[in-house]
Amino acid sequence: MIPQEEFRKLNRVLIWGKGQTAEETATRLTLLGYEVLKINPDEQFQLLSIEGFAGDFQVTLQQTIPSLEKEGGMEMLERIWTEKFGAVVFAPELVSEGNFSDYQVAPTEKIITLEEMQKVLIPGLDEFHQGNHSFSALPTPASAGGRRIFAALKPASYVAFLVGLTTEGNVLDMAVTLSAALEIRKRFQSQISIFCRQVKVAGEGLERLYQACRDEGVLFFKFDQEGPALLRRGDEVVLQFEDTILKRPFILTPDLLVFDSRHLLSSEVRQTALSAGIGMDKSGFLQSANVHFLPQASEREGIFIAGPGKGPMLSQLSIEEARATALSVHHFFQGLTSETMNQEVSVDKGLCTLCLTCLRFCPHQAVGFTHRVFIHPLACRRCGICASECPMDAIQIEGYSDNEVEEKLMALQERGDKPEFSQPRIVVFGCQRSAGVAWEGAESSKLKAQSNLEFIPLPCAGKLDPDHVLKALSVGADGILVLACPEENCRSVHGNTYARERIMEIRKYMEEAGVNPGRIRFEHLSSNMEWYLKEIIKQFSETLEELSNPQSAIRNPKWKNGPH
Amino acid sequence: MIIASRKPFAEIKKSIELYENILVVGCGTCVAVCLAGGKKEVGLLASQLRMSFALDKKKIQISEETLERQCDHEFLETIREPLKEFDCLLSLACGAGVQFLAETYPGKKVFPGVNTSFIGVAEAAGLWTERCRACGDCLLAITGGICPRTLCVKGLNNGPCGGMIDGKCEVDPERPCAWVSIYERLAEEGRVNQIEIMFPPTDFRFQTKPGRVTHRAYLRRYNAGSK
Repeated sequence: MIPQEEFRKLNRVLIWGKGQTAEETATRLTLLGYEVLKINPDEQFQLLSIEGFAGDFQVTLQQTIPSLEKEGGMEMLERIWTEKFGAVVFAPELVSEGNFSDYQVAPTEKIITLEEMQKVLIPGLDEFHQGNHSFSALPTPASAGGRRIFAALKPASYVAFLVGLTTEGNVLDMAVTLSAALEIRKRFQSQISIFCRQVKVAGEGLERLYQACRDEGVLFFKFDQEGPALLRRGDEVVLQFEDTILKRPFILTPDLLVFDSRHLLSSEVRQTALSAGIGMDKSGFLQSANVHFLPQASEREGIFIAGPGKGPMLSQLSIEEARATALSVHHFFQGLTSETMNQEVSVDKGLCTLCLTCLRFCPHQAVGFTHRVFIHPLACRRCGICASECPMDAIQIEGYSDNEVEEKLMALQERGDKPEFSQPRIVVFGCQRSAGVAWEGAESSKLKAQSNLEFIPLPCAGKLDPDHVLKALSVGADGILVLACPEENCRSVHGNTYARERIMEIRKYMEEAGVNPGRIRFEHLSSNMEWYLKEIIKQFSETLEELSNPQSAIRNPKWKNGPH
Repeated sequence: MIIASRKPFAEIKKSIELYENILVVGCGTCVAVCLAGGKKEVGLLASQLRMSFALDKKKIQISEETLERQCDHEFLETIREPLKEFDCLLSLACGAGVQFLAETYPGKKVFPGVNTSFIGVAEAAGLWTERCRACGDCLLAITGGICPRTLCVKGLNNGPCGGMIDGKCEVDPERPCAWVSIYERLAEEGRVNQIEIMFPPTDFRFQTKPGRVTHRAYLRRYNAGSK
């Protein structure tokens, strides 16, 4: 437990990002009375590390400035410094890069990206971002790119958009595509086709925009997997495909081809996220795909994620994100009082041997050390992974301590003396977030009243302790059932996978001792799966009965009234 | 730190099965840090033994205790009284701890539960690698902080040998050649000329067994030199 005097709450927030989400979050937080520092993650500024804990982070920043003073070339001036913040908000924008390689084409006069099109066609970009998807200003062929595009957009030309064919696609690209298509159609009477897998319209006004495109005669071609083949014929690019609905081959020669781009986190932001212990999803955007995380939450308390860094989003949504983030940060600071400090996790300083296993395994970076290890009360989410990893049993979690678990196991042994036992004795270790709820729900079916079952709740499956499992078996349990949340669904990120890994370790211990490893079973279970819980217990009881011949079952003398 | 790993369960069980009252004694320092002999491992081994003996229908009592360190008299003394009821001690300490426990309690049968492996470091959670052979004659000052006696498979004092291939070791092509690492490190630090220093054959007088170190402030007290 961190000493009271070491607990600090700094009223400063670092916003690491740019664009409207970062700006709006900064404005809102300033209005709420916080001291805000907003830094753009770019070549000049880098965030090197976030040490410390919620309320009291030490953020190391680096600034690289090109100096013009030196003759014969630029000298880079570098400054690295550490500042303290109570909370950090990640609000980066995405960078876009041409997707030509995915489509296996090279950019030419007639092939451009959606971004290029957007820049030329939508001078009132800000207005567009504010949710106005129609164009008030006339498009201007001001730039070189603009002239090129306008040259192609002669009356009655043919324009093809290829969007979301190499990736899942997103609402933002679809919004730009639909707006641009409608505009070109109206102003130049061009023929327009949109080639895509899905028309993504999950945003305000997009369904209407799509309908307007249809009404104006924009054609949509839907593909399941592969988009049209792109063939080169002189300087023409030819689209060849069979329409999935008409089952008819088409060969089209557009005057202008518009491709969507890849949207990515910049490498600086990715690097920062990795070093700060902030996860990314499978598409490489910020925030791990975890249903237990609130929209702006991260693995670490006090670090928030907002805006398009989580994936391309419409400007309206990113503004809403900013407002929600500001409120989350405010709520977080209001919650930081000594009363709310978690007192449920304790480290026995006499036992702790500073092996740092807890620090290495904590998914929330809540462990620190001075002369002994401490668990930061605000950063800790009480998963108990540290407690089950501790080689000295020095970390205990109130309600789930070794003593409390062993008491329950002893009670099971006492109950074993009763003669009415006729079924295999099963000890169920289950995450209280999923299995615990399912267990409560199964109460109506008298599952709880079955005296051969003992449910031992865990704060997270990551708290599963091999020692408790072996103790349960050695006091006479016939089988052990371990229930964890579904894969990639653990609130503490790795708790369920750690539990599964430990099952493998426990099976080895059991085999060595001559106990059939089939006596332990591991299952993923969500809270609404009572029926499955009942089914598992039924199946497992049958398995255990088959296993229970006098050679394999542990015969504890106290349990001589058992069924076998 | 001293790194150890648990002995195979069958070997442990066989060594103690003649006794009836067994105390598993853990050690809360090095072997706890390398997850081989701390309080948790004591509990796991004790439970395994209880199960295994119960299945054999043997009435053997297994108890658990973990000391701060087994390489200090004072900590070993703390179990003198309770130890009277046990006929067998199963120590999960390193070889030094096992011996000191046996020495402190003559007459008690003492058995090791771990194999003491080496002096090493924690590269990551659950992964330890050797760094020091305790040769008694450290040459790290000259070799850029990399020990060839430990990290070279052949323990060569001068190298690399002819078996080096593309900077890797002939014994294990995955392993970097220690002498190449030394060369690169020295070159990076601008003291590559040190690679030319020839080391004479290892002086094994520094490694006479058993080793003995006396702090110079205590020389008079123990009435002896360090060697």
